[in-house]
Formats: sequence, structure tokens, C-alpha cells
Amino acid sequence: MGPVIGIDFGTTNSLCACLDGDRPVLIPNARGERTTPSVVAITAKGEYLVGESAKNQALVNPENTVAGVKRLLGSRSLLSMGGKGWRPEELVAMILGSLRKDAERFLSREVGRAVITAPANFSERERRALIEAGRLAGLEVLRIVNEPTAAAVARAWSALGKAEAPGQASPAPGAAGESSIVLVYDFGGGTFDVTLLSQEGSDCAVLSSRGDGRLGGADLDAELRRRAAAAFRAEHGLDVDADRFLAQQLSEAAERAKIELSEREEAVVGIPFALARGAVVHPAFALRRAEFEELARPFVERSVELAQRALEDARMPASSVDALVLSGGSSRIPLVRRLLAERLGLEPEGGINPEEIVALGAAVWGALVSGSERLRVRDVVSRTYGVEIDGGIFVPLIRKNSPVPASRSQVFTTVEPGQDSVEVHVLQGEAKAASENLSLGRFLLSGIRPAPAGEPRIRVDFSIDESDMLHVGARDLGTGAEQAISIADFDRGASADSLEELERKLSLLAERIAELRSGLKLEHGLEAELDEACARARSPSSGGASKPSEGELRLLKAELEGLVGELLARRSERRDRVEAER
Amino acid sequence: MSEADGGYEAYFAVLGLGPEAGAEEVRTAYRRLAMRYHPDSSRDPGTARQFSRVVRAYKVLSAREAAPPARRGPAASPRERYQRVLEAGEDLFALGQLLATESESGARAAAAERLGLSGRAAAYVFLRRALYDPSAEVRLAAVRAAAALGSRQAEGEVAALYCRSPAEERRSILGLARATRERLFRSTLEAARRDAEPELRRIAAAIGLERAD
Repeated sequence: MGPVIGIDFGTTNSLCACLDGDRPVLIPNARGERTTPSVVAITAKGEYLVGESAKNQALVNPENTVAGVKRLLGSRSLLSMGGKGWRPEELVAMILGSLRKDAERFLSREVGRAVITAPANFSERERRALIEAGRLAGLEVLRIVNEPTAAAVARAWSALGKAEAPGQASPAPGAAGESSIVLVYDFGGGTFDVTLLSQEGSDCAVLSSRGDGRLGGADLDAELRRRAAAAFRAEHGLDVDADRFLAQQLSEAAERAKIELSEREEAVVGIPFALARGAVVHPAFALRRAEFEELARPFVERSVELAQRALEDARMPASSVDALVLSGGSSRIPLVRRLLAERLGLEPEGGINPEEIVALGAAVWGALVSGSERLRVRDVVSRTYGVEIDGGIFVPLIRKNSPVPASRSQVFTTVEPGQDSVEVHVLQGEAKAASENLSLGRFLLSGIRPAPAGEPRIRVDFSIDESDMLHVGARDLGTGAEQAISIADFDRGASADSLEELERKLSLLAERIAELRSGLKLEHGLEAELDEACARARSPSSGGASKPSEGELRLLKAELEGLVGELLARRSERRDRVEAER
Repeated sequence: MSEADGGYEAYFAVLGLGPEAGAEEVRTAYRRLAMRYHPDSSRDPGTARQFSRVVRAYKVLSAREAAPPARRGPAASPRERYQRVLEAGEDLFALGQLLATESESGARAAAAERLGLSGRAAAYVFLRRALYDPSAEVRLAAVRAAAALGSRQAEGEVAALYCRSPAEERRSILGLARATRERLFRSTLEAARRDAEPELRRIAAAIGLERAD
């Protein structure tokens, strides 16, 4: 088994890191740079280019250069390059493949496994496309980690290192046994994410996260570019967008000016020379930082607002945050720091390079999924689950971002006099109207003692266990009648686990089955099915000649979930009978 | 059970099959269920009674198969009619996918039926979405399949389906309960005993389910 590398695949730039002993380090590319632009191109001679060299020739070859492909991942669109249509994952694979080669050169070993980061709000489809891109690049993607989680984990890891170092007077908060709350504000080139985590010793849990997949530094570049283009048109009558060469030049100049304004008070968006109305002109658009900040303000405001919402989701005041971690190049903008200080009263932690922390975190994750016990990260529920009540209203019971395992109960009642049964309608989603959420199932609880409306007390229990199974039960507290359903994650389109994670959950399910079946009298057929499924779950690799594919493991997981559901139903049936006999 | 109370359909239902099942399917279903309910597999008298019902259904249906073709149902079995269902074979996941993707309700019903015939309790995970299918044919096939699996986790969902269905479908579900006597119909019968239709109430009152162990 070779090393596991961590990849931060960004909209504008990508980075790659690995663990050197206990310390995560960045892997330089063939040019000795730590960042590789997420740009691919094909030259007139048919040569494929990735990174800086692709970016450099974008000016002369814009038709055959693709940038920002991350935003198209998971979509069905085809990108044209070199007279051919490319799926986004094929282009992403070229970038990942180039990073892999850099890593192999740096480590002098073959590299076949990686952890890749993705924005927290990346959909299932986008994640799958990323896994596919990794596969095309010859990398087994062990896990897709949310970018902010990676940043927090990198910080936790280094805090841990400091705490363990002898003679360290004051370890970072949360490093040694005490609990701390970390807010990760990740403002990248194309996406914005904010995540609130709690860290206790080596244990991290995500409390809440918010994001906007269409908010990033590229939006600032575009706005700045739009203004410069308008100024050039007014001043010189120059239509920049009529010429792809000029258009590209201006885009790059805008990005450079934006970066400069993080340090300087004034910068110029300029084009060395252009032809306008038959004459050579030198268009330049000078901008003071205050003006840029005015332009950037709506974007930054939105990001700070999302940070506030993440705090509200977790019902935490900003004052409870122990550490603010900035990541992503756009978080270098001074206005970001100022607004975070003004609105939330938070100052960022020093000693962290916002561009690098996500990749370093991905490398740490690589160590975690390949077996390091030094740090443990808990999962959270990815969606909100609840029931429909009278009037089509959705009542959430388990909220998104609750740590797994999660469980919650709520007591409901009847709406009609003499009602002897209730239907429990289980849904997934965030909307207040039940009809706008995804229906997961309906079941009937019968055997309620008829009583005036509002009198019966019916307790509805929701739980999600560590294997991602949703179990919903209803019980009439008066008569003891109960009914339940189990909904496998397969039916909810829930997780995108790594193989390791899948195997861990399979063995959890097998344990659960062993526990549930004890004392139950079952038909031979079912006994045999349970034995066989558990045997496969405990050693997924045995039985067949080759290691089972990810798809086979997922199928096995769904089957085990079906069996757990059946055993739960049988147990509750037996309980009923014992009670009836009494 | 006699031909009068439901005709051949009831015998097919005991085996978890729709009325159009072919001879081979009857044999496969019989073998699976006979194995599950064989008296050697459990000392429970309920199992023995289920076993004799399965044997009786098989005998009646194979006798019919031997009768002149005029008395038989349509020649092509669902397996032959729906190539993709056939191709899915015993693959529970593939059959579950067909329930989500097939546009023809007959193909979805056939997929649900195949899941029932798999004889594996785990198949319910893939089957349950058919209970919410827009087509009544598929929903009924799903209930039949759940009964063929002897699935207990289906109890609450089948009862909810009964309550939201029109009278004709409710009658069919009760027919399945009567034919199979499966425990999963317990809540359904509880609800049916208070049905708005007096006739369905009468039918429900007359059905006694098998008790397990």
C-alpha cells in the first residue's frame, strides 16, 4: 500500500500534500510551485497541458483552454477543446493526474490512493463525478472530505502536535482535553463555505455548515473586469469582448489587481496596448482599495451573513467561538477580516496560510482513513428528517448537521374524535410545507384507544445509527401499540462513503444483526440468509476470488439494512405478544 | 380455500405470484416457499399450516397447467414479456432499479414480483418503493411480494397503503390477506375491520392470520 495523498482541487488552483512523518507538507509541482492552476489545454500540435503552462498559453489559444471546470463537475455539459467534446470529469482527471505525477516524483514512489476535498454543499452527483475523475487519473479516492472540515482537521492536527511537544507553555485551545469551538471561513476562488466544529482532544464534530457554490473570488474578478471594460469603452471606444485575446488579457489583469489590493492601497487593471478607432491605446483602469471594497462588499456581506447563519443553526453565539480559521485565497481580502471582526467580533488565528490549509487537512485525512488513531472525526446527519402533521406542515425531528448517532422523540396526538389509527408520514428536506420535501414512506399505527381528539398521546421516535440507517417508530403511550419502519440510506440517497468507511459500517451492521437475532425464533431460510450476509459483511474480501467492488459493498450494505429492519419488526412483534399474554 | 373464493388468483397469491405467472415461476416459487415453511424447519404449528397451504396451491396450479390450453392464462409469462426483468435475474439491486426507472407499469410489477420470489428478507429494502408506485397494478404486486417474503417490516406500510386506497384495491389487498394469512396483514385487518364499506368489514372479520412461534 503506497502513501495516501491529499488533494485540494480548487476552482482556480489545486494543491497536493502528504504526510511527512507526523507533519503534513505540500508537494511542489514540476515547476517547484506549491499551487497548480486548475487549467487544462491542448496545443495546436496536440500536446496536452495542465497548470501554469496551460494558463500561460490561454492568451494565445483561448478556444482550446479550459479553466474553472470544477463548477461544471457533475453536469452533463460537454466542453470543447481541440475540436473534441470533453466531459468535465475527463478534464478534472487531467489535473488530478498531473498532481499525482508530481507526488510520485516528490515521493519517488507509486501513488494510487487519495483523499480529495470538495465544497460542503457539493451534491451527491458532483461527488460521484469527482470520484470518477480520480479513477480516470489512476487514483482510488478513499474519501471526499468537505473543505472546511479538512481545514479544521489540519488546525486540530497541528494543535495536537504543539500540545504534545515538550516545553510548550500554552497549547492551542482544544488541544489537550478541553473543548473548543472552531469556525472555518473558507472563501475560495469559486465557492464559499463556512463550518462550525467542536473539537475535544482528538475528537472533532461538525456542528453546522453553510455554503454557496456560486460565490467566490472569481465573482470579484468578474465584477472588477466588468467595470474596467466599461471604462475602456467610455474612454477609448474599445470593445474588449470583441477580441478573445484582449478579453483573456483583461481577465488576468483584473485577478492580479484584486490580489494586489489586499496589500496595496491602489492597483491598476491595464492592457499594455490595444487598437481602438485605428489608433494604439494603453487602456488602464486605476482603482483604490476603498473603491474595490465597495465593489466587493455585497459578496463579502453575503459570506459573513452565511457565517452568522451557521452559528444560528448550531444555536451558538459568536462569542462562543474559540478559533476562527481562514482558508481560501479570497479570505486574504482585508475587508473580510474587518467585517468578521465588526459583525462577529472574531479575529483569525495566525500562523496559517489560507491557501494551503485545506490541502494539508486532506493529507491528514489520508492518514486518518488509512488508520491513524491520533484524531477521530465524527459524522453528521446530512439532511433534515421529520414527519407531516395536520395541514401539510413538516415537523423536523432530526436536523441536518446533528452528530451521528442521533435520536429524537416528540409526542403527537389525534385530530379527530374517536380516531383509532394515525398515519405517520416520514419526509426528508428543509421546506416548511411537507409537499415540498421528499417523501420517504408512510406507515399506519393502529390500535389506538378511541378517545376525544387531542387526548391520545402518540410518541414518534426518530433515530439514525452509525451505519446511517433511519428508524422511525410510533407508539401509543396509552395502549402500548407500536409500529415502525426502517429506511436504508440506499433509499435516501445519503452517503458517499469511502471503501474503508463502508467496511466499517458493514461490520457495525453485522454486529447489530447478531444482537437483534438472539432469542428470536426464525425460519430456517431467514437464519441462513442472516448467516450468509453477516459472513460476507465481516470479511467482504473472502468468498469471491477478487475484492468486491464498491458497488457490491453498497448493495451488501442495503441488504444488511433490510435484514436489520426485519429483525427490528420481529422483535417488536414478539414484545407485543408477550404483553398481550400478560 | 376453494376456487369459489377468489379462483386461481388466490392460489397464485399464496405463492407470491400474479395470475399470469408461468409454469416455471410456479415451480420456483413453490420450491422456495416449501423450503421456508417445511415442517422440519420449525416446530411452530403456524409454519406447518403455511406449508400445507403452499403445497395445496402448487398442486392445484400444476393440475391446471396439465389441463387443455384453453383453460390456461396468457401464454407468455412476465419473465418472457419483460426482457430487462429477465436480465436482472436474482440481482436485488437491479430489480430495485427497474422499479425506479421502468416506464411500463407491467415491467415494474414483474420486477416487484421477482423481488418477492427471491425469497430473501433483504429484498424488502428494494421492494418498498413499489408500494408508492403510481400504478395500482405495481402496488398490488408489491404487497403480494411482501407477503411472499413473509416480511414483517412491511406491516405498517401495507396498512397505510390500505387506508389510502380506493375500495376496489382495498378488496384486492384483503384477498391477498385471506389467501396468504401472512402476519404482515395484522394492522391492515385492524384497519379493515373499521372500513367504511360494510362488505369489506365483513371480509376482514372472517380472516384469521397465522401466529408465529
